[in-house]
Amino acid sequence: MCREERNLILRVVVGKRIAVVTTNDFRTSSLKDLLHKAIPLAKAQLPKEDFVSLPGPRSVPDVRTFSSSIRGLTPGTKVTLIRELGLLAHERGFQTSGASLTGQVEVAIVNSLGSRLTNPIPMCFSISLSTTE
Amino acid sequence: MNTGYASFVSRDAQSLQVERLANEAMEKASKSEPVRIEPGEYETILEPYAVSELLSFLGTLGFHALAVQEGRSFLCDQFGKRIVDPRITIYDDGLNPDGLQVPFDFEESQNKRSPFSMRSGR
Repeated sequence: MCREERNLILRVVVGKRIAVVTTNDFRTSSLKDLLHKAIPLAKAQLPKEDFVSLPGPRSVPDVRTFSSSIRGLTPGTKVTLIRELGLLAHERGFQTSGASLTGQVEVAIVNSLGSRLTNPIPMCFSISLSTTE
Repeated sequence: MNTGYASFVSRDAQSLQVERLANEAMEKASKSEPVRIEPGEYETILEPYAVSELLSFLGTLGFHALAVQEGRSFLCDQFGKRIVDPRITIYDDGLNPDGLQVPFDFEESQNKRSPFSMRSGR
């Protein structure tokens, strides 16, 4: 099973009053509607006294989050890995079940103070095995 | 019936050691027969998977500023107080090479090692 989705999280700050709204509809008209809803929503909030400001532009550490070894994993490859795990246990008299998941999330953050951050496709691979004797 | 569990998470799929993972699950399932115990307070040793699950829920429920600001975190009004054993230190470190590194969080903060107030032990 493969799932792909896009989400936009919009945070509107009016003084110390903040509203957060989300959408997965990226049409321009929809995004404008979202903004028009978020502004009065922010004004209706209680002020968050601890809030100072959104951050300005800055650099972040260069962290390697992309792995070609994960991108190359097909559903079939993952099934083979789980079978391999299961066979090892089965040979010793265990019943097994396993699961594997790979994911990639690309995050981009922009704010009106000039901050622009993007994360180059973090990827993650997980596999688990349950055995019953 | 004995059961065992093992899991592997990484940014590098090639670092998976299939036999080691299978052995881990089988060794747990091969431990002595489980015994039925009465409900009560017991000294308990949690394996890393259990601690990880626990911390995940704590993070969702309370370890973030918005939850504190909105008064729904269990940490509200607890700053500076000892709420866990002083031997326990909990910190957030998005750049820890032993974890899945992320250079910044969704609030645009540069990730760095940040202890929670639970650490103070006072």
